[in-house]
Amino acid sequence: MQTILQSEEINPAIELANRILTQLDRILLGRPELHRLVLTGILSRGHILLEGLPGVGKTALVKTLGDLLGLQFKRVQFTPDLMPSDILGSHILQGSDDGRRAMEFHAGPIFTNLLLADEINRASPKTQSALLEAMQERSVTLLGATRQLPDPFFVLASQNPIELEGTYPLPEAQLDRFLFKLNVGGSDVDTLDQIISTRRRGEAPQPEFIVSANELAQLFAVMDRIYLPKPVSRYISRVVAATHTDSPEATDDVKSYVAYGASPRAAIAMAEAARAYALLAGRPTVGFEDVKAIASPVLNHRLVLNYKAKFDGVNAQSLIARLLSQIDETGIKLPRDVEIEK
Amino acid sequence: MKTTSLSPTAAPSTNSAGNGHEESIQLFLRKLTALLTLKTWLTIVTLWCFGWGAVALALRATLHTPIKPLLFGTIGIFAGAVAAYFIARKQLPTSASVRSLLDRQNDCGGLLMAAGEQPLGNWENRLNSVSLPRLKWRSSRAWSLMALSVSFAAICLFLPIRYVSVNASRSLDVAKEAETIAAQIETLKEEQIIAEAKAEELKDKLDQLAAEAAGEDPAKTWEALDHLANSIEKTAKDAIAEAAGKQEQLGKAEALAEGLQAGMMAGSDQLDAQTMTEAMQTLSTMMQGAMKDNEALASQLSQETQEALKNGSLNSEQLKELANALSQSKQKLNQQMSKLNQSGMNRGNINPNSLKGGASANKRDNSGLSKFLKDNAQKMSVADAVGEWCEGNGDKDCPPGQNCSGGKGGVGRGRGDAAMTWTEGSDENNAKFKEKALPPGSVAGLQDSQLVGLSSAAPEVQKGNLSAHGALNSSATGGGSAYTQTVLPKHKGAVKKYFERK
Repeated sequence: MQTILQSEEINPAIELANRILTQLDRILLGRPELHRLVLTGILSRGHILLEGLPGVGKTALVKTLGDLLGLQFKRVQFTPDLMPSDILGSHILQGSDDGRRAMEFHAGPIFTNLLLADEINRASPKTQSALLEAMQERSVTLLGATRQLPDPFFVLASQNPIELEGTYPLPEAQLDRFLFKLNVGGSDVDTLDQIISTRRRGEAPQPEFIVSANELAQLFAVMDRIYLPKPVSRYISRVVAATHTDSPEATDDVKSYVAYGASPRAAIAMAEAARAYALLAGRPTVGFEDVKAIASPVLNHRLVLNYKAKFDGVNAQSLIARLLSQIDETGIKLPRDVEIEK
Repeated sequence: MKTTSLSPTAAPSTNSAGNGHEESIQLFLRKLTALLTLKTWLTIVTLWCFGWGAVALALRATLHTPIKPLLFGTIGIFAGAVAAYFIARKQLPTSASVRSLLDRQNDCGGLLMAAGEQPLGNWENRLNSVSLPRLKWRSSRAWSLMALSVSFAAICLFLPIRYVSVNASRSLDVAKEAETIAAQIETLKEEQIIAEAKAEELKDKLDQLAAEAAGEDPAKTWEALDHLANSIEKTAKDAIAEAAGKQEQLGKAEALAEGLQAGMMAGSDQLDAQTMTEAMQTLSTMMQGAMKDNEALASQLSQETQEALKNGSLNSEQLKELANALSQSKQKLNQQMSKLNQSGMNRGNINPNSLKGGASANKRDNSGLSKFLKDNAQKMSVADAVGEWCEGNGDKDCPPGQNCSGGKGGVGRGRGDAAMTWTEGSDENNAKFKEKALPPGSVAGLQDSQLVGLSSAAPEVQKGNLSAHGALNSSATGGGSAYTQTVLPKHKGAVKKYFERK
């Protein structure tokens, strides 16, 4: 039976998480909410797709995170001629001292803790698909041999929303394996001013501390014990179910604009992400507000909108926002003219 | 918009795990139950009152169901409260839902929800103050509809039956009038003024009128009743007039019999043979006429008296017997007239007492008649002398042959200078006025005139030659005979309606 973490158990993890966040905010200026969501994704052991224009700091964010967490970090620049073996690794015929020759496996860059898949949508679908097994099962199978990837393993991919010529949009199966899709927007004037005045050539400062593997393991262990109450899990289920047009919970917007709803993997992802978000908020239990906070990053790349949505200028974010406002968290059904004032 | 709300209250707090939250949840559930019960009850009452009113209206309109049994429908209102409670209970959210609501409301971040599933340990301190949310109900529509339905039910229940009856015409209550006329018919039948068959016919007609009396057209009923009453009244008046005539004849015969008997007894006023014979013959003629009209009179006389009456040889005793029989017959007629008068069939027109031979005739002292006959034997016949004698009322101060109380005038009813007898005065409104010549209708003739010129001077007014606007403007209303039917207030509506017909 799962018990609720007591304050003396959770407080060190909260303190550590807050320190990480503080470092991220210090190193990368003006994006505290993005940092919180990225850390949420990391604590959830999920992969994150960062979408943003060039030069907004996607790569810097991932690199800083890798440095801060003391994890092995590798970067792969995805190009159209990139082959799966360039990522996964390949077998090379090698001669031994005794004159015998054998196929020897040379691990690719995926064998790392933190993989930055830069401009992932520029690689061919064949190469993109090479990541499927690695992202879901955290293993690589080549020539019948399955090799486990290091633990923890994260893929932080980036893609550019413009310059779509010569790109290959990620297939739904690939997208579904990303816990979050986060939009990295531009910086405001103050942030830009601060960057210019404090960073020569834009070089970010080094982190003041590095999280040890042991601390990181404890952080994951605490995260696993964050309690998810039944009404909250029910709410997550209802939200995910409501994204399907044939669901009784589906709203009019969903029926009008959604072609395919979110998968059960989305519900799992929401539960995990909500746990991590609750931990960052300093609570041992998940509340409705945690679910609402991570709903959009979890669902926005999982909803397949129809052409009507494109015609009407409806995007996934606005659709999810309306969906959340229309679904009552508590599930209480009262007569129409009776309201509970919030 | 009217709203009903339950204010947020500070929930009980406790440090013992779970108890404070559970009390808050139960408190909220109780408030929600009360609100939902009230709301459901209003809906039930609204529906019930509309249904109840409609059923009551239908029952009253078709079956004329009285109000009292329909009032049992109020039980539905109380039963609705019980039903509303159970319906509200079914609408209540679960305790877990309310817990999640309070968690959200108080920003507990899942702690309150988790408290319902797991012991919170030292996190319990974070849940010390849990406030209840406000319940808001937009109730104005529900209250308005309920007021409307209750009003509808009240109107359906208490609206007078004449406004809701659909299958039966509104009856007109003429029972009192019918009862009066029925009593009059019975009186006429008892007095044998009308035959029994005729009485039955009139009664059937009266019953039919009463049964068919319709409120939609009261004029028709009142007119028919008035016609029947007039017919009966006319019959009664004819009977009174006939009885009065008979009574007068009987009074003369009685006076002659008493006068002759008194003369025989006194001796001094003994008539001569010729006058006596004429008197006896006159008495015999009078008696024959009286017995022809009144068969009972003959039965009151002995055979000897009847023989003597025929022979003109009545002695003193037989004259006395004759006078008594005539007096009794006269009294019977008098009683009959009084009865008819009392039954309201002789409204102010014929006063039986004022007629000759009426009640006053019984008081006449005829002891001087023999002497009066003897004195006037050469001047007039016995019949005329008796008539002359009877003009007086037997008053000792009134000289014989003089009408001291006045007569009605006319041939055979006293001298021309006799004073008139006045009954109750005629109603001025219904009196016939003297004819009045209307002035020439010169204005009416203008339509045939030709324009010969126009003058700017003021027109010359010829006094006395021009009529007022409309030739009949100055004429008096009225017309008809001195006796006309008085229009009673209760009939005025009927008359007005009659003349309003198109």
